[in-house]
Order: sequence, then structure tokens, then C-alpha cells
Amino acid sequence: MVRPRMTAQAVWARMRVILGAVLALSAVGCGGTRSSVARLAGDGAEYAGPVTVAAATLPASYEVVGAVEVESIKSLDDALSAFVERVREVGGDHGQIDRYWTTFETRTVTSTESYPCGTTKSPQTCTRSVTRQQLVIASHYIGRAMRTAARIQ
Amino acid sequence: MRFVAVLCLGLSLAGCGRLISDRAVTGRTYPAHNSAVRLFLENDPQPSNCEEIAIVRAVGTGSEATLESVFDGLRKEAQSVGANAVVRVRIDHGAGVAGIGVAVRMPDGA
Repeated sequence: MVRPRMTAQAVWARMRVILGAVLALSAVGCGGTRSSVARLAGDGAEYAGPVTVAAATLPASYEVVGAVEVESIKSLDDALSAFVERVREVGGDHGQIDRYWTTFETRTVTSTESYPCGTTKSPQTCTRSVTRQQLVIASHYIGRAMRTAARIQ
Repeated sequence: MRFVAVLCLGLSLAGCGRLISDRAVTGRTYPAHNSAVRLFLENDPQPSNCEEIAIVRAVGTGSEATLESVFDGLRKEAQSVGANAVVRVRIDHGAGVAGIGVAVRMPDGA
């Protein structure tokens, strides 16, 4: 089998593309946002209407229907969208964010990269494993899913 | 030679720090302004009758990992949504300094 020859420049260009893709993927992890909800009360029906969110003030009257937690290495907006979806899932029309905080983590990211390893006469491409330290900033929300006065039976 | 050294030092210091800020709007926003924004740390007594506008966050790393930079970032985010205060401000630190709080509109004179 005849292997097509690649110039060193072409190899480096390809390597840069692979590295770029690996870095971009590692920056968002597996989706970048993780969340969960635990039902505490209610009939289990998902709520399709608008959901309000507050972190400093409480609604006048409410019933707690679930507990929600979100962790995201993406924007605050992404974390908030996940929070709202979880509130909706347990039938809430209001999400109360009780606690929020930020964490800094240094994650070790291992990727495989290619490099030219042959001679001028017979160019070859080899691969090697590269380990890097990457700073990841995550935001966390913990709160309650509520049904407000208008929807309490 | 001295100029080059000073330039390199300046550039390296500038390149070693980063302040990023963002927000998630939870209420009605108001026009942006340049007026003063008050900060209330989470363990301080919080003002009452506030209207919530957004959750705001500022994260400083390197030379920007200071409370002054982070508070400045929070104030700018609050100004951009028309808030005049940030309440429940929480500070976290690790490889940088992060401030997160709720941008609100306080009644005048509160």
C-alpha cells in the first residue's frame, strides 16, 4: 500500500485543527451543564406555562414541589435555563434560587496529537499523548421548585 | 533598552490578568446608566422592597483576582441592566476570585 505523502506544513495544519477541536470539546465537557430535581409534592404533571425565578425575594404564597440543583461551566444564562427546565419538570411555576456559588477546578485534560516524525525522504506521522492542566470555572445553583398562589388548589 | 524592558513588563502584567463577567436576567430590565451601584454582602442586612432584575457574576484571574476588580465587574453588570444595587453578594476564591449576587432596583432613598 502506498501512503500519500504529507508535507510538514500539512501535518502541522492538521494537528492544529485536531488540537483546536480537542480544546473546544474539553472546555464544555459533556454538555457543560448538569442538573437534577427531586419531587417533594404535587401531582407530577409537567408545567408548560411561564416560570418566574427569584433569588432575593419570595413569592407571597407558595407550595414547594421540588428541590433543584444545577452545575454549569457555561454561562449563568445556561445554568438558569437548566434550573427553569427542572422547575417545570416537577410542575413548578416559580423557581427560588436559595444558594449560588462559584468553584474553580484545575482539570487534567489528556489529548492525542499528531506530529511529523519521518525523514525528508520518507515523511511519517506519529501520535503522542499530551496532558494539560486547564482551569474550569463552574457556577452552582441550589433551590426550590414552587407552585405559587394562582396554581395551589 | 529600558523602554523595551518596561514595555515587556507592562504587556506581561496586562496579559496575566482577566476579568470576565456575565448575567442571567430574571426580571424586567431598565435602561443602562453610569450612576452608583451599592453592594450588599450576603451576611449584611439586605434592603427590602427590591425588584429583582438579574443574577450577575464577575470572575477575576491573575492580576485581576482582587475584590476591587470583581466588585467593579459586578457594578458594571448591574449598571448595564439598570440596577442600582447588588444584594446577597457572595465571594468565592480558588484559582481566582468570583463574586456573584442579585442585581436589583432599590426604591429611591432606601
